Amino acid sequence: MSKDPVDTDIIMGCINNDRRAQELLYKKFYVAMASVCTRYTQNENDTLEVLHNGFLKVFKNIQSFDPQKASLYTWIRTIMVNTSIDFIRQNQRHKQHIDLEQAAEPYVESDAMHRLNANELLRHVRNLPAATQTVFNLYVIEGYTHKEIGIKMGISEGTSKWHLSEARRLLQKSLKTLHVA
Amino acid sequence: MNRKIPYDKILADKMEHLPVPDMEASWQKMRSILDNEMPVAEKKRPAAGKWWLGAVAALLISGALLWYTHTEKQADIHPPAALIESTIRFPETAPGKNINKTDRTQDADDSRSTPVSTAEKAVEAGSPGIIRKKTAEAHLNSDKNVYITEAPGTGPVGKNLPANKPAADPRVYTEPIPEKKLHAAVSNLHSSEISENAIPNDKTSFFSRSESATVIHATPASVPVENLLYTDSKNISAGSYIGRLAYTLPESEAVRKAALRQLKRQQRKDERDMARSYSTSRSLWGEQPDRWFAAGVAPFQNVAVGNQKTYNYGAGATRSMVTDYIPAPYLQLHVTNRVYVQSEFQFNAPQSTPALLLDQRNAVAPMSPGILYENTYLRKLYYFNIPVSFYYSPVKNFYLGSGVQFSSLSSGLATVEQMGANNTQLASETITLKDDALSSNLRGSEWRYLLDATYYINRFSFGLRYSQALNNYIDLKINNSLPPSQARNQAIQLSMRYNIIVSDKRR
Repeated sequence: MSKDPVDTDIIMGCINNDRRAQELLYKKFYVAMASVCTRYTQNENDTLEVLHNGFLKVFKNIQSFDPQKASLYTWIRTIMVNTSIDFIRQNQRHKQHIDLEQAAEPYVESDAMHRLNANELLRHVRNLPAATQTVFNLYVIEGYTHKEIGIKMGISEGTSKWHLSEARRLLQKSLKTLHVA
Repeated sequence: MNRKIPYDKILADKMEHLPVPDMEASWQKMRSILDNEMPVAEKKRPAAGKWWLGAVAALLISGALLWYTHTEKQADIHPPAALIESTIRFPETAPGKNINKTDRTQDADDSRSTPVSTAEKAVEAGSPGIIRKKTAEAHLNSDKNVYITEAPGTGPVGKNLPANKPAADPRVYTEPIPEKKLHAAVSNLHSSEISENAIPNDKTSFFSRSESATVIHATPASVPVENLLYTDSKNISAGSYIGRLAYTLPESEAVRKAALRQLKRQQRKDERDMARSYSTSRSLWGEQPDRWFAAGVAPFQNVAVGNQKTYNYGAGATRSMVTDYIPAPYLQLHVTNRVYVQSEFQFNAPQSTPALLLDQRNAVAPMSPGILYENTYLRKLYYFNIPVSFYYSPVKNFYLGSGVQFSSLSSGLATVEQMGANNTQLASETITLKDDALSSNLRGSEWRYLLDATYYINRFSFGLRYSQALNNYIDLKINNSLPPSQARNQAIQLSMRYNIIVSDKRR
């Protein structure tokens, strides 16, 4: 179980399908997990759908959580990311078969990024194609390698690189349009 | 490890703090999903659903009490032959003036008759001033001292015919005492200076002793029906058996009914005597011989207390409230004329509650501005109650009681109110709470203490009862912005009881 005694109580409650414990767990990790889901989705409805699917998996499988392997936060976050990827897969109509071993790295000025607030940045990220947005999130935010992203998304490593490059290019373009960059 | 370019880190930091949807509304949706996907198993109510065990136990106890009472009565009616030794005495202090009748089986009850103790000693000492009345065996042995005999198994009015004496007419049982012998006995008594007042003209059918208010009926088989009177051992202090010498049921149905009516009247008189005996009771706890048993039904009405609100819907969430008025059967064991114990079964007792918030859900309606709220308020609860109370009478007919009550939640009522923008009510519906997620927030069973005041008039009694639960029946926090819903049951109950069954007064 988790080292945190509060977490332990919550986990035990969730294993027993106790609504109050589930509510506590949900609210404890809500902001962080909602942020994760927000990054992978295009709108609030999708965010909540992914978030709730993710938490449902958490509640259904919490008995398999092993605190020796990872913290509860990491475990839940992993579930959320995977749920987001599943969601994107299900909603991705046209799978792109693009392979790019070496993508050019577009440059976005750091100062311009600083001037953007989170909402504006989110709007630009959400303008990216779903797969590109996902790869961008997985690589930039979650810190996965292209190999890991490839495995998770069922794409090749090269495709993952292409998506990342594409994400950066589109973001640069988008920010230039706004005269930020 | 991946290779991030400088602004990736800035992006990552910014993207960690994105605005998120409202947490409370989101949890409500999550909760709905969980209710569908992972429904909460009903809380086990250890006592709920097992109320019938309590009912069965109470029935068994009451049955045992009835049996015990009946057995005791039978023992009084059929004393073993060896124990029957009724005596008619002439106390040494005033020989020949008083007739006192006692039975060794009733020694304990003779404390109120002062001559008895002296007479008892005289019996044991074989005093010559005592005329003995022995058993049938003694009669058969032609003991000269025996002038009245009594066979075991002789009972009141055609009941309990002895097995060894089958009557030709089952309605008639005649003690085999020769009438002349009875006359002789009466003459004998008369010759022993019994006052004329004590012996009416018809010596064969009636003689009485005013001093101890004992009425004795001794009627041989040939005595006319109209001379037959009901003889009740309860009326005879010290439990005499003379009155059971002969009982004849009349031949005519009409006369028989008349006799039975007279019997009933006598029973009523007994009950009045029971009440009258109150004033003669010297003991703080009353007289032990007044033990009797009663059962009946009691319509009752619960009244809202404090912040509770009366809700005019029945158990089925309809306007019909018939089920709120199911009379409660009860059992009473009157231990003395001052003390009794009562148990009751209230099968569907309504319990008023404050309008407590049980649940709140938010929703966004596509065509409506703002957020819609769906609030569920608790309105009423129904319990199966088993109160057990101990009553004491400080003054005549008035009893104060206290006890405990076990209450098992049967169901409840709640209203679901949909509130729109500006807190306008869009819809309202009454629902039943039973074996669902909402009712799982309520305590399934509880104990309460009772305070009771009852006024007894003959077979009727009028009661006022206050009960208070020992624990909260709800302790629920809907969300952080709302105060927790907490409450403890309390009730004031008005009742009217009627004793349908009243056992014979013991001894």
